[in-house]
Amino acid sequence: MSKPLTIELRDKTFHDRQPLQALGKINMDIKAGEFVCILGPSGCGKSTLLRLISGLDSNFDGKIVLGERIVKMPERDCGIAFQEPRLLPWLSVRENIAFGLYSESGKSSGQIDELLNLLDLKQFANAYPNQLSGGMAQRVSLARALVNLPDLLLLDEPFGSLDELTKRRLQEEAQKVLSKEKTTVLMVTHDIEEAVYMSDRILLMSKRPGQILESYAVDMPKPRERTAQNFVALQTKILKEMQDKLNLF
Amino acid sequence: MSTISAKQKIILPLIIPVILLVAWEWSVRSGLLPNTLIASPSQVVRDFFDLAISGELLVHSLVSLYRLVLGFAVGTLIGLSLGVIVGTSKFAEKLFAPTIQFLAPIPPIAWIPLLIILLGIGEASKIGLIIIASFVVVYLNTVQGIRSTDQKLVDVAHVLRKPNKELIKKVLLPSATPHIFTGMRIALGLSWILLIAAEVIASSKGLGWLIWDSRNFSRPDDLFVGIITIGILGKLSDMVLVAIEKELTKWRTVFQGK
Repeated sequence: MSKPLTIELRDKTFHDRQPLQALGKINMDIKAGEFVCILGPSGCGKSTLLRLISGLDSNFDGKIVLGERIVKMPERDCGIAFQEPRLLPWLSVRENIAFGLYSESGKSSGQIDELLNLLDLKQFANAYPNQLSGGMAQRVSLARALVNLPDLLLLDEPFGSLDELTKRRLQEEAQKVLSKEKTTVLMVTHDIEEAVYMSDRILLMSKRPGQILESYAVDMPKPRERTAQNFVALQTKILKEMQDKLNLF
Repeated sequence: MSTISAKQKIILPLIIPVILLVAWEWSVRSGLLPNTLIASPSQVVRDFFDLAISGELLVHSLVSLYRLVLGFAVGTLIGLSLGVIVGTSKFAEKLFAPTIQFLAPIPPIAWIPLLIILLGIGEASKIGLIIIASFVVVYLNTVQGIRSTDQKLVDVAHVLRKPNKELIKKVLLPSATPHIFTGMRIALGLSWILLIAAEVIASSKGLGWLIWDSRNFSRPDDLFVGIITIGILGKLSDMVLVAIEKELTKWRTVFQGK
């Protein structure tokens, strides 16, 4: 199952000591089953946007609708993989993945085995998180988000801390799983190649307060060839426009 | 980094006790310490076996342990339950915390006269005292433990729509376990102190009474047997807690000293 997502955000400001406007006006429509990537510089409010969509923070001006539901608090139809693994240190790898399930019944153990295999975690099923490397912990976190296959999956730089080879393999595997289930996905990243490789549409976000500057459709059949001419061309075009629009340096 | 050998591991902890024992034995035998007031280690050992064989020591120990374990268990249970409730709910915090915070700093000994008036000089007042003391310490540490849980982990449970029961069982309690056990160990030590104090003040059985009574009857050997038995039981009860904590927190990698 998958659901469309509509965002009509007017403003998100944190009022701690000083007011800090994290996000500005953002309108976006994500179709059911679509894979959308948000590209943007560090600190532009990408993670904040995901928090709002997941329902963890409902203190904002605007409206977010997932399927038929106006988002006010976390619901089971929306899953999220955080930027850091956020594993429970007292649960084993297997138990951490099982924690992602609504109800931990016997039926689901096959599902967990499948994910352990897919993400190459089998030998570590009974290890505790502090025995894992950073990349392994990230994979467990991904497995926890995938085990339930929600209608909308939010991914916050899920491959950020992985080595190049593992990253590529995981991007391929994740894409297989997600397109098979036709899950709607919104992924945040600062890796242009990753965005072009995985998504149907790429949105470029400005510096704080975050706004959508540009939208690129990626019309290439999946799985994509990273060295193909049009792949590299799009990658180069996005990089060029990021440099122009964000003038980071 | 230096490591200690297996031989050193056994010998090192014994050096100071052996020196102290030899000095003690020698002081009493040579007459440096009056034998009517202080018993020598050899006399204490002989008396220890006498009292152990006659069953007297066992009776006193069991009476004391009964009071300690019952009071500590009930106090810990109440402290843990209320600590979880106050730790998880702002409403409960506003309701309970101010009252407890006002009562907590009162030294438990100050309750003894009141407890004796209310509950008499029997078992109830002694057990009640231990309940109050362990409750306060375990409660404070449980609240502290729950409130030091990483918000990021709580968020994980929230986005997964875990019910409150799961949140407490899988996230808050495991995270608070090291704090809770610190509280329990302090509470257990405090319980021993208060138990002996209460037994000295008013009782006719128990290890505290054994010590006090032997003073009255000039039996310095009984006095030391009582003290040593309390030391052994105190250490054993602490070891039980440490073993349970180790089992529950085996997921942690902590610095062990070098």
